[in-house]
Amino acid sequence: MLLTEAPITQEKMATKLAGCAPGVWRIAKRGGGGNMTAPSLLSAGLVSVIPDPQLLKTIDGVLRKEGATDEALLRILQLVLSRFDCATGTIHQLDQSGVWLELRAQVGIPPVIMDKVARIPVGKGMAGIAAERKEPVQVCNLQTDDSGVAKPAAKETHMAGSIAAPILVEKTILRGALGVAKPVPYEFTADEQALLMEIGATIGRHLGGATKQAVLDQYFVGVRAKLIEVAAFLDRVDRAEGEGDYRIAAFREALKALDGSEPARARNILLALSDPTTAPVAAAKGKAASGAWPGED
Amino acid sequence: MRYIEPHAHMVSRTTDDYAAMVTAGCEAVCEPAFWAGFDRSSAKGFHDYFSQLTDYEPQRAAKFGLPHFCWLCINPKESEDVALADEVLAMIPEFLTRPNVLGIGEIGLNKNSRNEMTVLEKHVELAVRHDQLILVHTPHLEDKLKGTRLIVDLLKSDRRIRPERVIIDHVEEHTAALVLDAGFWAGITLYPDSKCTPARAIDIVETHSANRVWLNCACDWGHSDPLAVPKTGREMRKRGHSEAAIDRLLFQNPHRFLRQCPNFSLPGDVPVAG
Repeated sequence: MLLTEAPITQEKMATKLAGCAPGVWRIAKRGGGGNMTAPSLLSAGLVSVIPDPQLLKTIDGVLRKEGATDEALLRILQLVLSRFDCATGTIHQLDQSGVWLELRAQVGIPPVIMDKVARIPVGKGMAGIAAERKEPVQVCNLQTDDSGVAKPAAKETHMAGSIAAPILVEKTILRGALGVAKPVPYEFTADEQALLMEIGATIGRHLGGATKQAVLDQYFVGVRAKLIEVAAFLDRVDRAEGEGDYRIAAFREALKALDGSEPARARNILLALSDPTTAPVAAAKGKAASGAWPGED
Repeated sequence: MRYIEPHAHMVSRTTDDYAAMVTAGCEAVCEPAFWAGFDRSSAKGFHDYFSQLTDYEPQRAAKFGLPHFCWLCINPKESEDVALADEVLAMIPEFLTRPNVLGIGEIGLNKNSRNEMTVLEKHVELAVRHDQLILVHTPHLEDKLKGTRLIVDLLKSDRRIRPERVIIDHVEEHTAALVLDAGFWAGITLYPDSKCTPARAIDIVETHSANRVWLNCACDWGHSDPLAVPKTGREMRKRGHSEAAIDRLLFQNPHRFLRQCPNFSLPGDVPVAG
């Protein structure tokens, strides 16, 4: 099936082409028109079945057990290559700068182009463009491609039909790119693109830290309860008779750290409650700590 | 999941806790010498306590198939009395030959007093003289920052100290970097109220390092949870950490540190020469 300018029908999608015209490459465009991307095909219900839930379960199981080590990613890449009947493939991870894709696993990349594959800028080459557009990019025949999408060095792989898919979590957060290629001209179907995207999402969940949505889902209700406890405590103190002491003053001062913009609020609150002096005290007065520094005598 | 509990005051706990820990995957427990909740009246009380740690408690743990190890010292909470500390320090060498002794600990500071510093220095001297591992307690709450700074400065100023043989315990968000950047191991203690919750402990690991870090429950006679370490493993699993990463933090890290002591050996360990 080609992702072309023409509207896509389910009938067309069911048709898998045996080959393609030399030099033809396709980038599934975002948005409107008749073009639809693999994710949008999925959401539109035009591609309704992720064809290989067992493969996804296996990949997730490997990563849950071992983590995203180089060895685990290589084994996963080999599974993916086998599933897609491909000979060459790569897994790149987005670096912390968000600018570079670093090679984490590869199969079949010739040593002569390894330095070009090891680090790819987002936006360059098939993997880089897929990462930038957050959509799959494919070239029907790398050997005859003159579009400029694939880097010239890609021909050195001796592959023809190739595709790169972004590794996304929660559909928008980029974690890397996954690429596979065959030695014959080939167009990857919408189902295959959708599966590659799902594989990427499965890998991506283990390639970085938690997303904001995951943190909120896991912690919001529990921490909300603690926030209300803080508020209720302050109300209780205000309702109580008599004088407070250095502890409530320190508490109110420490609360200001919650307004900070840098993710060091816990540290800053602890610092606000700490004894800032540096010299040993003359003698210990008791054994207990009160939780806030009373100040120097 | 398997884990090592590297800091638990088991003499304060019931046999139910031993059973629960073993059921949860505990493969060894290590017990630093601690304050009893009251000041002992004489050095004889410490002699009895050290006998309990090196003789009776290992037998109690063995009934549950759990290897028990210990650390010896006079705890910082009793270090204000330097004369008593001297008496206790003098008797420690006779216990260092016991087969379950790991080193000197948990020494350190409580209220950051001069006498506590003096006794800490004496403990460090004892550890160096007998080539022992060191486990350091850092003070509670508002005293932790200052105490950690004093401890790190003292240890760094002694060129005989090898940081990889010292673990500084009870770090929190404001002290973890002080300890790790100086090359020491850092212990994160999991307490329901003071110290760290499982979520905060994993925050520290994620934002600092998982390399020279261990987790412990430090359960004692106070509000504490002997299963806090495996519960933190569960927290890691919920966040998507791999089983391999959980095993590294909960088992392999403490194993790596403790194996520096020839007395620490678990079934399957290759014997250490010497």
